Amino acid sequence: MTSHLELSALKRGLRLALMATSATLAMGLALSLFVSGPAAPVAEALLWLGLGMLVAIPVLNVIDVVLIECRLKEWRFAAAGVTVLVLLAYTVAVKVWP
Amino acid sequence: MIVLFTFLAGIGAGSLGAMLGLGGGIFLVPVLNIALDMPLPQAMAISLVAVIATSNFVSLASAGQKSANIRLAMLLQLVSAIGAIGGTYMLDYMSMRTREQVFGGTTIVVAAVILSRLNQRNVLHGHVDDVGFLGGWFQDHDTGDLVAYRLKRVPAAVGVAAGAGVISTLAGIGGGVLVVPALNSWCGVPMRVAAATSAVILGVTAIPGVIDNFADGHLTSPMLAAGGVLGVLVGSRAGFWIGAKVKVRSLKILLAVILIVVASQYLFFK
Repeated sequence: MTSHLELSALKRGLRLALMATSATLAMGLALSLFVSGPAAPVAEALLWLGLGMLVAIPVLNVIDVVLIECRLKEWRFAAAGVTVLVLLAYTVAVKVWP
Repeated sequence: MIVLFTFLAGIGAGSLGAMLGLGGGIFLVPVLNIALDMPLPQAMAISLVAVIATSNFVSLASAGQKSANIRLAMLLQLVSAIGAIGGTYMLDYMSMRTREQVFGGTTIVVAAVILSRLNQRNVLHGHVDDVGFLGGWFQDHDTGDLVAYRLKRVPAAVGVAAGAGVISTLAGIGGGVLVVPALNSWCGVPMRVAAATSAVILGVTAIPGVIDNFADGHLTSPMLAAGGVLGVLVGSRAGFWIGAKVKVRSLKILLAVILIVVASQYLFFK
């Protein structure tokens, strides 16, 4: 049976993180399009930061579910979440840092 | 100008994604590749980033959280992540044309399954205490009632999720185009629950493909990626609102038509 998982503090934080991601990407895009010269590296840094934040959010979502399932002592689902995190870490280790 | 077009394409992809539980990549890749003449690997890389954006928005929205079966999502995203990682290794041995043909053929089959089961409803009528392993309840928008459903054919759901992971990496999409119809047509999951659950899965499924594309140097323009992501986030809001007001049968027909159009593109016009 699926229980309704309550809205955790981390989930509320993730919503704020999504808004922050959008703002970071929008700022970076605006700087790239409308401001040139010294602002170019800043714009590119904001864009890569925003993209990194975007990719991190699903990972943090999985961590949130793992923590909730551990609190509920549902170890099967917690183990599934941990395995997903390990697989993603493996992908980064093999592809980005070979 | 190309950033503006990417933004507009993202709006369209995000709207469809939020309405149908897709990441929108199935719409975004052809638009970027064909309409904007972007190299296919770059279009796929941007699409996968946009898929993550759609997933983040839908899975964190309150309506998505109420509809999604989180434990089913945890199980399926485990196998879809394995499939996606396997797909990154398969890329080394597969031509781009082969990937397009595999995706087009699969999409045609899925569209046929959806159209053959338009009137199927996966809700259990009457009072239900036990919904079984990974079953659940949700608010049916069509009737307004709290209805129950049971998950059937779990191995089918697991197999499709793994295949969706592979397709995600090979075709630059989230894989929801396979997961949503399978959950709804084969596994007894109501359409809205299938769409919301798929949206939760897509983000994790797309990450191995994004990492692989980044490592291979295909994610070269963060500006275009940002344009696509921001468009998807805007479109997702509109798609969510529209999707809540449209009947289930209409959603299924829309999904099937989109699948046929996209499949034709990849099979005959590339």
